[in-house]
Amino acid sequence: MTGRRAFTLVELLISVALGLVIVFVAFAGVRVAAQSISVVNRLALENEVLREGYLMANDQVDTWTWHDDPTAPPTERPLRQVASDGRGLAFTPLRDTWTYVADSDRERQRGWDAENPWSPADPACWWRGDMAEKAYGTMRHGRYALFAHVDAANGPVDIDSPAGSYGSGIPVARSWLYGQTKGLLHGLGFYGACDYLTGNAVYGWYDRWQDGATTDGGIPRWLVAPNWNSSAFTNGDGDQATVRGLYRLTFVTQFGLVSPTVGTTGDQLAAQDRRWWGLFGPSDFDTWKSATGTGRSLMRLRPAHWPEASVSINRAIKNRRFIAMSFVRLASPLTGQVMEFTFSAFGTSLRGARQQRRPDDGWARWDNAAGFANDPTLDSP
Amino acid sequence: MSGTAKAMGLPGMRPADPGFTLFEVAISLALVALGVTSVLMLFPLGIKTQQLARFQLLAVAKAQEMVECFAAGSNLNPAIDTEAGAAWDVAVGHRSLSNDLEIRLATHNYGIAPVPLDIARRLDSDGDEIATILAGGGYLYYSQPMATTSFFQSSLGAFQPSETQRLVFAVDGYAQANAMHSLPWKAWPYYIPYPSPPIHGTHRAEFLPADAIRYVARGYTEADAPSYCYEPCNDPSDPTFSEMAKVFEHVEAGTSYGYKPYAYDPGAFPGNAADFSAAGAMRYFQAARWYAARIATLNAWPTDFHEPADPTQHRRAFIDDANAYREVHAMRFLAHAATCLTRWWTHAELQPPGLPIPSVTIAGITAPATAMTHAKIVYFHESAMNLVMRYASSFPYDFGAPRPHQRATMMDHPLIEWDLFAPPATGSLFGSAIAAQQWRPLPARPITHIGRSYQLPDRDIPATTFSAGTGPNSPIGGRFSLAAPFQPAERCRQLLFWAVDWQAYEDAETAPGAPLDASKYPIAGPVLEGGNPASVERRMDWFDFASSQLYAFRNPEKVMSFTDDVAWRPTGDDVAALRHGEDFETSRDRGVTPSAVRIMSALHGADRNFNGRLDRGPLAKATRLRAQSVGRFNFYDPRLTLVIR
Repeated sequence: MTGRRAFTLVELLISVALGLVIVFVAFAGVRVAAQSISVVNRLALENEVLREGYLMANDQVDTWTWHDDPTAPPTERPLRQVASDGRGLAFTPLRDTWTYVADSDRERQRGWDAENPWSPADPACWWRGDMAEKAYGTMRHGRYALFAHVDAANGPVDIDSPAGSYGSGIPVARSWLYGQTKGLLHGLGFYGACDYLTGNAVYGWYDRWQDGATTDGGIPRWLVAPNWNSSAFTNGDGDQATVRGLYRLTFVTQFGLVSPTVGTTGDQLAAQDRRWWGLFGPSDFDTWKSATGTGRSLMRLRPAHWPEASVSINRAIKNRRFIAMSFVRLASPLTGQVMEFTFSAFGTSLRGARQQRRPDDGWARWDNAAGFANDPTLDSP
Repeated sequence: MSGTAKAMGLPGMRPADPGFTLFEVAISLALVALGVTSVLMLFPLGIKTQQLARFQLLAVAKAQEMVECFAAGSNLNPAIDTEAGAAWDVAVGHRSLSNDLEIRLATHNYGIAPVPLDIARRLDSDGDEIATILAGGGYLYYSQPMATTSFFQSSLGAFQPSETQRLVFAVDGYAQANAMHSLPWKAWPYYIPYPSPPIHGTHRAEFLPADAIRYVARGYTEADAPSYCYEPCNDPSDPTFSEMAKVFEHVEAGTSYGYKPYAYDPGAFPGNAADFSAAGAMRYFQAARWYAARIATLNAWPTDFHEPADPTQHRRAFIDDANAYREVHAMRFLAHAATCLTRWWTHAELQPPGLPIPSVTIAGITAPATAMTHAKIVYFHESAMNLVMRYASSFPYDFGAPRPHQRATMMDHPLIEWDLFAPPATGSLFGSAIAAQQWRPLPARPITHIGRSYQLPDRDIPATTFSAGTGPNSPIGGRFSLAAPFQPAERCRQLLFWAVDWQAYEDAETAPGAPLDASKYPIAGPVLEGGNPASVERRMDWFDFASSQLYAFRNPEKVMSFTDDVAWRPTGDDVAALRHGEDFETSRDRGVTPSAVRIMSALHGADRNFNGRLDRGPLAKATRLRAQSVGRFNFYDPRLTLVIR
């Protein structure tokens, strides 16, 4: 019988071996593919979460809703409160802390006028006073309270000093700029006032002299006296004891915008809001970060294997720079690995954010269309 | 025969198709393997795509932050000297203060630092862009681990790792000719409070004219705080200034007049009884009135030009626009001195007919007697404010009177740029024979009443300092471009980002820092030592370096750079204490000692991921890495030196 022979054993073995190779390659390929897909999916998921975190941070820099959500019930808007002594917070309607009183004489006007452009050519906007008057001075340059006085909007003032009285019932022409500076510090806190006042603002005013509470000429000492107690407006840098501007106020220390979570009452929040922060070491940074940070988890509900993401914003004024420091943090539930990227961002100022909000609740509507009446805002009388 | 038998190739049947040969099977397997491998190769592409997406996100955030920091970060460097007799002798005339994104940000507080050149040169990129930038003298940068905040980096504490440091970036496009940071000969504008006495303050006892009024600030010694009155030295040819000496301090027939006897001399302080008195205030006011009378004679103005016909009508206009600065000074002194009276006399005593002010005659000029009232004091104050504000708005290129501190707006800053199209000025560094040159300044309009500077009041600022020319568009040449329109393509620059794991190199932290631009060294201005010009080396060691006062200077890696050799240390060693960190008057990079030079230049390397450990990556120095292009961002340098919100 002739015909083709059958496969030899060697051939069969080789065939089986080759088959095994195919199976192995295919298996390895599928395995690598599965791993790759898993890695790609994880990376894609992380990237998507990071991207959302980045967008959320930028959104917060613009909308400030973590500081104050205008759609939330009043009980969830702690930064709108008024402290027991009448001081306001960053989102307190100014009308609640600083009553607007119109007057045909601009210098007699009290309260915040949102329509005033603060023109540098407007004499009401020029700071008047002795910039050399020290906390411990002798008033040798005279009494500048007679040119501008914070109480002059209410009528003639008494001008006293340790050197004796200049007189009682003195009519003083200027008051508006002092009133604005004092009113903003009272109504909005340190960060808020710095946000509203002009870049070249001088942080000082003349008031009625009080022994120990003001300079001899009447400048409140808390505005000028060197003070390394952090619960103060000024720091002790260089022992400077005169009025100063924002750069010098934030040259060594900084103002921070208090987080709505560091207290529940207006008094608690105001105490944290009215102070300077010195970041001289890592522990200072952590303290500041927790006291001024507003943050959220990116997803309240998520699959267990998804990374946990959070975003937080800290706001501060340092070297006159208004900083919105943004943190986007990712923690893997599988590996425990944590990554975080931070950046400072451009965004809406506090004043802009307040003008986005109605004084009661809800977002304020703005339009420049003819005949459109803009909604009142937190700055409205 | 059944088909089955045929298929089996049984004898007698038609031969069946031969089976696959081993060769064919091998070929088939090879094809299968190729196919599988090809498919497998696609999966890493997916990973790379996602990695690229990650880096693109990080690059977007970093680019945004850089632009924010450039626009909003402070550009002040309070520690540096700002005035000299030549642009090259003072830091404000150097490149480190140019209004350029990478110059401004590549500093120890603003978040970017150059990748060590040794490492940057090992990086390949598409189109050899990195190599091209390096060859052109540019830098490749990396990011500090945390956001750029203006906080001290060493206070930022523990931070979580991110991949931002695997980004490297560079600026493509030429630096632009923008506004000068400050005029090196005179750091104008001078800002002072209005009203105020003649400008006075601390100044070493050198570069002063022989007739300068010198004194010692209270509470200090001559060695600690020698002081002088500047404004009388401002322009010896203009009595407007030289006569201010009498407002500051003057003795006439044995009686002291002026501000200093009243306010600064020992009697001004509790426990003494000299001129810090009503009489002293009166004599200061008399001196201010005398000055007004003197100014009146200079201009043929009425002697009583400053006296109000109606004190309730404050002055708002100048008698003579060409000499507006003289009126500004006169009213400034009158207002300041008049207010000093209120320390001693009451509102009631200052009612009409008023406080009698005796006449005074000084140097042959008499200020007649008058009476002062509260209303006139207010008049002088408000008029002084009105006039100086008007002056600042109307005459931005007149240096005759300082700008009011109460109105420190950007509009008061004159526009001056370096003239790149005229021959530069040449000379030598102060105190040396080292040749130097710099472009000449080109202002938008001629500067009037430039006077002398506070730092060098013993010499004029010659007209040849400025670029000459009479072009059609500007009184000083037609080359002034700061206010000229431009096309985007003329000024657009790009931020280029790549991703590369450069920190995987074994020398990522031990490689010396990139070569430092010499302008980053905060050298002191001209100073004398023992009556002789201090050498350049001495000026490099003259003043204390303080981190918080020198943003634009020193090595961008200063905070993380090592202060000692770490090459011998084992990988992972704790090197946190060896980081230079922040300092205040304890700088170890100051001066020309070998140690200081090494630290200033970051020759010991740096803790570049700021984790406090000495890291060495697995890659040998000989390895080249390919940087993956991540993104490009267009930007423009602002033409003016400014800070915005």
